[in-house]
Amino acid sequence: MSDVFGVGVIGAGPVTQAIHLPTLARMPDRFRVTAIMDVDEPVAESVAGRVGARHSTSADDLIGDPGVDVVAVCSPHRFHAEQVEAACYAGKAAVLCEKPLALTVADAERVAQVSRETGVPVIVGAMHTFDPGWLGAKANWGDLQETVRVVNSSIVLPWNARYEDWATQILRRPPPGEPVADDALSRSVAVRDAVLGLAVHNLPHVRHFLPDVESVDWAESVDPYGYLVTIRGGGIIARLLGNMHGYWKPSWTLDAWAADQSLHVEFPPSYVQAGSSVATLTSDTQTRRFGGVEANGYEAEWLRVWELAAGIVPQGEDLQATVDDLIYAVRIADAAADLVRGEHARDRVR
Amino acid sequence: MTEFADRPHLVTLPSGPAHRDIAAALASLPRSFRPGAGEDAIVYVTGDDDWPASVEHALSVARRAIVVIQPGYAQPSTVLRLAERAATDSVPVMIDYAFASNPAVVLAAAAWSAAVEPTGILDVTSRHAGDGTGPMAVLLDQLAALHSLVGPVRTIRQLHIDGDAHSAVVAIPVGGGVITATLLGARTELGSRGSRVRWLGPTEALELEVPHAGTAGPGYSRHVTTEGEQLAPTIYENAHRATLARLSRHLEAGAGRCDDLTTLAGHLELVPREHPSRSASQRTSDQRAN
Ligand SMILES: NC(=O)c1ccc[n+]([C@@H]2O[C@H](COP(=O)([O-])OP(=O)(O)OC[C@H]3O[C@@H](n4cnc5c(N)ncnc54)[C@H](O)[C@@H]3O)[C@@H](O)[C@H]2O)c1
Repeated sequence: MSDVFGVGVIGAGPVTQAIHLPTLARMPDRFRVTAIMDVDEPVAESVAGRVGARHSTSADDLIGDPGVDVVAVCSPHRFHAEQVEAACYAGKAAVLCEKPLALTVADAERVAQVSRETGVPVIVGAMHTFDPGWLGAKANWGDLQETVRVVNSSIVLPWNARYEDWATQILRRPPPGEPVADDALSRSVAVRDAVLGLAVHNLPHVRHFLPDVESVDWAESVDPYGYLVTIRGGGIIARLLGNMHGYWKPSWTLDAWAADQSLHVEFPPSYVQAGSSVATLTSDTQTRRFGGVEANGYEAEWLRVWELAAGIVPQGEDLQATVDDLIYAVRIADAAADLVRGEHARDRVR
Repeated sequence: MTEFADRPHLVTLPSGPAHRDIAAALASLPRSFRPGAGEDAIVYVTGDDDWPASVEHALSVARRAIVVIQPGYAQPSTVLRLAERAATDSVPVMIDYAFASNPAVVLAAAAWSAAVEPTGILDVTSRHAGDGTGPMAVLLDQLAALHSLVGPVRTIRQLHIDGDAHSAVVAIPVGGGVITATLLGARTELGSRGSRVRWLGPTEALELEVPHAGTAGPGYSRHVTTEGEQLAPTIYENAHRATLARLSRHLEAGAGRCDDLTTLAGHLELVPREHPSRSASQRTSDQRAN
């Protein structure tokens, strides 16, 4: 088990700087960052300099580098699918793609196809799906998936910069987004973006409990950034709520309630290496706690990348689950966007 | 001598599961209330299917006051008629909600109403025992809590009730705009019953968590800003006792009229006409009889 894989990172923005480089620094026996690419050359050069890697402004160049065994795609959403595919075609050992894997169902299916054809494992950096607390609860919740009635996913966080600044020293922060205009199209685009940008973290968890969405009952884009969506299927109701705000308090929770059992998970915020979630399973006879350990989801996702790259575990079911998670998210995001467009138009008439 | 010359009101206790909790609440207010019956007694009505008929009956025998525990669905016109009759007869009809009547909600109301803006998220969740009229009563309780904390609810924009869970989206005009609130509820057999409401604004948040009405365990009311989080003083008094205390103050002040029924009728009006949950209480009670 002495394989140390060379990592090449595409996109050297805040997530690379604050999340992946510090995480990889904790795993020197498994990974070494060998190349950093960004379309912004000074950023690529400076970030590469931090880890002693070479830099580039071309994704093809990075992917073609024989010193790069594993590619991490950390560019803006719209480039993900295409860059993951290119890394697969280059026959890399594994690809880690930041969430979301793609922005359309067709793109996600194509990525899966390419991954299967080339045999290159692809995983998505939705770190809380790898979280030890969540996984501990999942292995112990018994029939919760059959008995659950209500799911509540709530991601309420201060703006990213608060955490980035504790995780690293950010080089060139992107300018803050424009406020969302109050017209039907802008608001529907905003809700879609927020579902695919933020809700997407917990949609794989929600899908465990509500796999078949029969209807999206409500959707709303929340200012300055957020979403409010309720979905239903198989007699289960789920509420998805998320926003970013200007006060200090992070609160990232997932609840699944059955009449005789409940699951409550408290996840740490993004960026910081603050250990795992704490997941609590309560029944009428006992309360069990999972997680609360030092390892976090970021480390766990990279560990999985390493196992896949080293061929210790086969990609197998992971890939289909990853693609199904994305398809699930895109369908909800699309339905939410449609609903917002219609509802907003009706609101103007009222 | 005069200090002990109390004249407690007689109270006719409800039957069923609420009996014990109300008896306990009375026992904690011995100088104001005492169990008993008679024309002058305060009458408790449990909010199950036929609660309007029980209130109607109580109005014909009781002259002091009536308390309705956690009412479920009723025709809004019937409830309005009851409200008018109660006002004419000067008999206060007070509602004892598990959530909305918790003293933490009452205490937080002024600060909430002043703070909540149209921007942000307003979310309500309740976990309940499913007794009484089930989810519909819980929904009405949530609306009553929002009414006192945020303001009058204008519309129910989406509602789904099935069996023992519900979700709703309501609109509340505030500060020149409208905020939507999402409401969730689910039945639980576990001890962790209670409700939570949060307003997650752009630069501050308000959070309020209250336990079920059977415990004197306190609610937690918090104000979160950039500076930190302030917890309001905790109150170890449950909703039943707080309702009785409110009734006592109401009677001492000699006030006849109480707006609880009128507000409830307003909320019942908002339940979509075609919604099957209009008969939800019927369904639940059928199930209970099995
Ligand atoms: N897992 C998490 O906790 C988490 C948190 C926040 C964001 N994210 C995800 O991480 C990714 C990156 O986020 P970010 O905040 O760093 O984004 P960003 O958009 O701020 O930065 C991305 C970087 O990519 C560069 N870039 C632009 N076009 C490019 C291209 N075609 N090829 C390569 N690089 C390009 C930009 O110059 C920038 O430096 C996003 O997919 C985001 O959704 C994950």
